[in-house]
Amino acid sequence: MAGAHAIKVTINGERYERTVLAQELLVHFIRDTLGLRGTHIGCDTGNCGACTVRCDGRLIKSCMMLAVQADGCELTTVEGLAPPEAELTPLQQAFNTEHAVQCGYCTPGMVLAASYLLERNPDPSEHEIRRALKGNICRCTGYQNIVRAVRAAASGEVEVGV
Amino acid sequence: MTRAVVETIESVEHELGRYTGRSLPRTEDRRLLKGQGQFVDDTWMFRQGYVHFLRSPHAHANIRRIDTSKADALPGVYATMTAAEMAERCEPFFRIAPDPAARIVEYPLALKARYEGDAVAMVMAETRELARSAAELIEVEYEPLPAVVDAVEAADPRSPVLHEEVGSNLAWQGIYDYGDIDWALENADHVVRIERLHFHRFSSTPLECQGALVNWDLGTGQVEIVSNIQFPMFASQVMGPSLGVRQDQLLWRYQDSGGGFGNKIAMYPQVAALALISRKAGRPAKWTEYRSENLLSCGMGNERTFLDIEVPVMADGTILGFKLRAFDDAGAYLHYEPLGAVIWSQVTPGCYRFKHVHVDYTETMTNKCPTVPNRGYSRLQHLWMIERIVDTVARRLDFDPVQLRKQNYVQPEDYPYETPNGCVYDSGDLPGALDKALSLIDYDGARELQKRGSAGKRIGIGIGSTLDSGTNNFGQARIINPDLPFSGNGEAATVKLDLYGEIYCTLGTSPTGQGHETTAAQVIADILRVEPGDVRVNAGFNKEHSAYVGFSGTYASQFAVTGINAAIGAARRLRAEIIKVGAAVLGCEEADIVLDGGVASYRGDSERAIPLIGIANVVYANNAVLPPEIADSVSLNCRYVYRPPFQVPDPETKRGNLTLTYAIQVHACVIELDEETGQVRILQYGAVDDCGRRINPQIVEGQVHGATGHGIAAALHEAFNYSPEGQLLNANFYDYRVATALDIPELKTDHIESPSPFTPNGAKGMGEGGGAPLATICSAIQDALGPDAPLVSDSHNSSERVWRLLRGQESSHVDVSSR
Amino acid sequence: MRADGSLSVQASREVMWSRLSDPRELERALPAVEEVEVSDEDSFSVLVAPSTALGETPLWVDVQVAERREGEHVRLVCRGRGGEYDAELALEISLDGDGDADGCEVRWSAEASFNGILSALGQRVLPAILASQVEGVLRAAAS
Repeated sequence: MAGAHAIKVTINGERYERTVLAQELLVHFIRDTLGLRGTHIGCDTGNCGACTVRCDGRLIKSCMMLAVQADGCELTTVEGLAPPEAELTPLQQAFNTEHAVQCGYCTPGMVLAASYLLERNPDPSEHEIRRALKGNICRCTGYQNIVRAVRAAASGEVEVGV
Repeated sequence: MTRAVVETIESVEHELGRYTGRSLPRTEDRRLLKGQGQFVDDTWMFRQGYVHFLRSPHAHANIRRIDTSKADALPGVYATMTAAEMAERCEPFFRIAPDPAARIVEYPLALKARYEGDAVAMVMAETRELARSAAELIEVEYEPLPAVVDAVEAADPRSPVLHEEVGSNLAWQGIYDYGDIDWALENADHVVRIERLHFHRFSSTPLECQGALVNWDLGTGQVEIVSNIQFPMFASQVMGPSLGVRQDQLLWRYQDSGGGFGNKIAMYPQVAALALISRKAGRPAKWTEYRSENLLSCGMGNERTFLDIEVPVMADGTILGFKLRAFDDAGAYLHYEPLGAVIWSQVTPGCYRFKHVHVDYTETMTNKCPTVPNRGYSRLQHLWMIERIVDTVARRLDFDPVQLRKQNYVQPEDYPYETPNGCVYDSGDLPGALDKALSLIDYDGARELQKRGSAGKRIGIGIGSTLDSGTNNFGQARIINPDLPFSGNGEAATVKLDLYGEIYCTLGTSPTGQGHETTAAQVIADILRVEPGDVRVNAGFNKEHSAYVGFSGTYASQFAVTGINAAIGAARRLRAEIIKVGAAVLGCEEADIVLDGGVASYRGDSERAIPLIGIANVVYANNAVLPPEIADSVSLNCRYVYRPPFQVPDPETKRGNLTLTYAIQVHACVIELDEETGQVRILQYGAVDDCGRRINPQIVEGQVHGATGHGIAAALHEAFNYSPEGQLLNANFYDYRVATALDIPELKTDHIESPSPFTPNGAKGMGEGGGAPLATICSAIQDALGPDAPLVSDSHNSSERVWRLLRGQESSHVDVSSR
Repeated sequence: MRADGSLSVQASREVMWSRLSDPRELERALPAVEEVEVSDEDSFSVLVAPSTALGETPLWVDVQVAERREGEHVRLVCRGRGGEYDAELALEISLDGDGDADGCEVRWSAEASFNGILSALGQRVLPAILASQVEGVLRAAAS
C-alpha cells in the first residue's frame, strides 16, 4: 500500500509492531491504534501541550511528530506513570490535594511536563515551574493550583492516599 | 420604591455541617490523573465513520452549485450530505427570536454561506484524514457577496442582509427604561458623557473542542448521542421537532468533558447534522472538532458597543444612573441569541444603587461566527461598562475611586435589594469585599510605589467590582419574545439505596470540571449521616438513567443552588423513607429513629438497630416482612426537582425577578506599564469572592482562579480579529494567544460568606466570575496612563493599543458638563 | 500578504520568456500540471494535481495575463480554489540579462490574499511557502 510503513515502538515498556500511514500523527497512533486515550489533542498547531509524552526521555508534543518518526523509540504516556490499578504517584497525589485538576483535559500533559521538570530540577522556584509549564495550556485552573501542586511535590509535603 | 417581596425559604443549613463546607479532595481526580477519563473522542462505536464539515471560505456568498459526486466516488467514503438534502429531511430549527428574526430558516447545513466557516456540506468516511481529503473533492461554486462585520453598520438598512427572509439584520431591538433618566440628566450637578465603549470578541476556548458521536439506530429508533454539549436538554428540545423524533428517542450522554464555560451550549446544528448523516449511512457518525475549526465556528462571546453614554452625577458623588445605546453583535446565526439581549438586565445597575437607567438595545447579525454564551454571558459586558463609567466619573470629577465606589455600592443593610427592574440582590458586603481586595494588593504600598515612580515605567492601580448572577429565571426569555413557553428554572436528582444498601445519586447536570461528583456526595453524606466515600454520584450526564427536567445541564452559575438542592431534596426524601421502614422494622415511632453511620436505631440503641443493607433488603427482596401500607409507600429510589421560587416577568414593563442569587467578586490589581513598548506586567492581583455558603471552599477558590485567568487573558492577550472582508485572522493558537502559566500572575484570594436567604442551603451559584479582571485591568491601565490621558475605552488592551494610548492616539471622547 | 525574491537561472532570458509566456510550454515544463485550457492569448486555466498519500486533490488555477512587456516583464493574476480556501495571487516577474546569454536574473514579487482557513496563517507562515512555490515553478521552467 502506497505510503504505509512498518514501525516498532516501545510504549510504557511494551513493544508494538504496527503499520502506519506516512502522514499519521504520533498522537493518533497512540490514541486510535494503540487505544491509549490518556494523551489528548487540544489544538492543531503544537501550542497547547495536551498531547505531551516522553520520547527517549525527552519531553515532546506527540502531535508534532509523525508516527513513522517514532520508529525505534521508547515512549512514556500518562498511563505509564503507574499501573492502572495502582495508587497515584506523589506528584499525581499533589495534584489531587492541591485541587490542580478541574476538567482534567490538560492534566496528563501537565503531569508529564511537571515530572520532567522535577527530574531535572528537584527544587524549582515558582518562576521555574511556570517556565517549565509554559508549553501546557490550562483553561480551568488559572495555573495557580498546578504551580502549588508541583511545589508541594518538590518539597515532599504530599499527603498519601486517595 | 417598594421593598422586595421575599418568599420564606425553609433553610436546611442545620442539616448540613459535617462535610458541607469542607475542602474535601475530589473523587473525580483519580481517573483524570491516570488518563482513565472518557472524553468524547475517546468513545468509539462499532462501524463508526468520521465526519468532516466542508466550511465556506467566504464570509458571505450564495451557493450557485454544489456537487459531491467526486467525493462520493472515492473508496472509503460512506456518505456525503449537502444543505439542500437536509432541507428535504428535516424541519428548520425552532426560533427564540420574535419577528422579524423569527422568519430565519435554518437547517443543520447552510444553503447560503453567511460567515467564514459556515458549514455547507459534510463527508463521512473510513478515517478522519480521508473525510477531509474527500471534502476537498466537493465542488462548490460560490458567488461572493459583500460582507458586513460591524454590529452598528449592520443596523443600517443599506448594509448587506444575511437572511433575506428577515429583510434586515435585526435580531432584536428594545428599550429598557427604568426610573426617569431625563429628569436625572436635567437635575444632576454634573453630566459625564462618554462617546463610545467597546467590549471585544473572545471566548474561553476550552482545551477540549466540541465533539459528538451519534448513532441513529433504525431498528429501535433510538438516536444515541455521546457529546460534550453543555445544555443537552435545551438542544434536545430544539432538535427533536427538527428531526421529527420523540424526546424519548434522543439519548444524550457523556462521561468527561474538557471544559465548557458556555461555549459548548449551542452545538445542536452539528449534532443534528450528524444524526442525519448517521441515518443516511446506516453507521455511527463521529465528529471531533479540530482547533482551527473550533475557533472559526464553535462560537464567540458577545461583542458589544456602547454609544452616547450619559451619566448624571450629583455634587456629593452620588451617581444617579446612565443612559446609552447598546449594539450587540450576534454573528451570522441566532443559536442561543437573542437571549443575551435580556440577560444583562439581571444586573441592570451593576453593584450600585443607580435608580435611573435607560438602555436602547439593538442586536444585529453580521457575517462573523455566531455568538454563544461565554463565561459571564451578557452580564460581563454590561458590568464592565458600568465599571468604566464609575472609573471615569471618579477620574473626571476628581473623586477618590475607592470612596466613590463605596458610596454608590448597594450597602450591606440594603439587602434584600430590589433593583430598578425588579431583580432582587440577595445578600453581600460590597464595601467589605473592596476593603479586602485592596488589602490583598497592599493598596497604600502600591500608591507609594506609584508616587516614587521609575524611569520608563508607570504604575497603575485598578479596581473591578462585579456580580455573578446565578440561577436564572427562564421567564426572562419572554421579555425577548412573549410567545416563548419558558419560565422558572430547576434541576432534578435521584438518590437511591441500592440492593445492598449502597447510596447512589444521579444528577441532571452536565459538569465540565466543577466537581459535581464530590460536592453532591458531601451534602448527601450530611443528610444521610454517612461518609462521602459511601455515596457514589454518576459521572457526567446520562439522560437514560438520570433524572432531568427541561433545564438540565450546567451553565449560568447555578449548580450550588439547583443541582445541590436537588440532591439535598432527594436525599431528604430517601431519609424519610429509611426512617419509615426502620420504624416499621424496629416497632417504634418514626420520631424515635436515629440515623447515623449507616444504621437506623431506636434512640441510638445499637442492640435495637437495622443497617442500611437491612433496610434495602426488606424493601427489595424480603418485602413480606413489612406491613403492606409501608411496603406500598416506599421505593428507596427518590427523585426530587428543586424549583426556585420565581414568577413570570412582565414583558410589557420588562420587570421581574430574573435571577435568584448574586455572588460578588471584587478584584484589585497593580500593574507596571512600559512606556516604550506598551506592555503591561501585573505586579499584584487580588480577588475577593462572596458566593454565600461554600460547599467546598477549595473548589470555589479553583473557580475564582480559573475565571480570573480567563479575564486576565481576555484583557491582555485574547481577542478575535476579523478583516473587513470577514476573514478571521487568528483562527489558531499561534495568533489567538491563549494565556500560559507565564502570563497569569500569582493570584491572592480572600472570601466573604454572605448566605443567600433565598436558597435552602444558603449557597449562591458561582463560577463565571463576572469578568472582573477586564474592568480591573482597564482601570489600572487608565490609572497608569495618568491625568489627561485618553479614555481606555476597549475591554482588550494589547501592548499595541496601550502604546497608542500612551501617545494619545486612541480616543473615545469624554466630556463633562456641570451646573 | 506579500513576498518577493530573485534568483539566477541557467536558461537564457529568451528561453525563460518563451516558457513563461506560453501556457503550453509551461505544461511541458511543470510536473504537477496535468492540463491546460487556453481561452485566449491572455487567459488560461491550469489543472494542478499535487499528489498526497491518499490520492490526488486537483486544483484549478485560472490565470490572467494582466501586463506584458515582451521578453522582460509579465504580471499574472491567478485565482485558485481548493476545498476550503480560495486564493488570489498577483505575480510580477521581471527578467534581466542579455537575450541569448547563458543564464539570466529573475526577479519576482507576489501579493496574495486568501479566503478560508489559510487566511489565519497570514504573514507569519505563508510568505515562505509562497516563495518556495514560486521559485519552484521558475526553476522548473528554466530546466
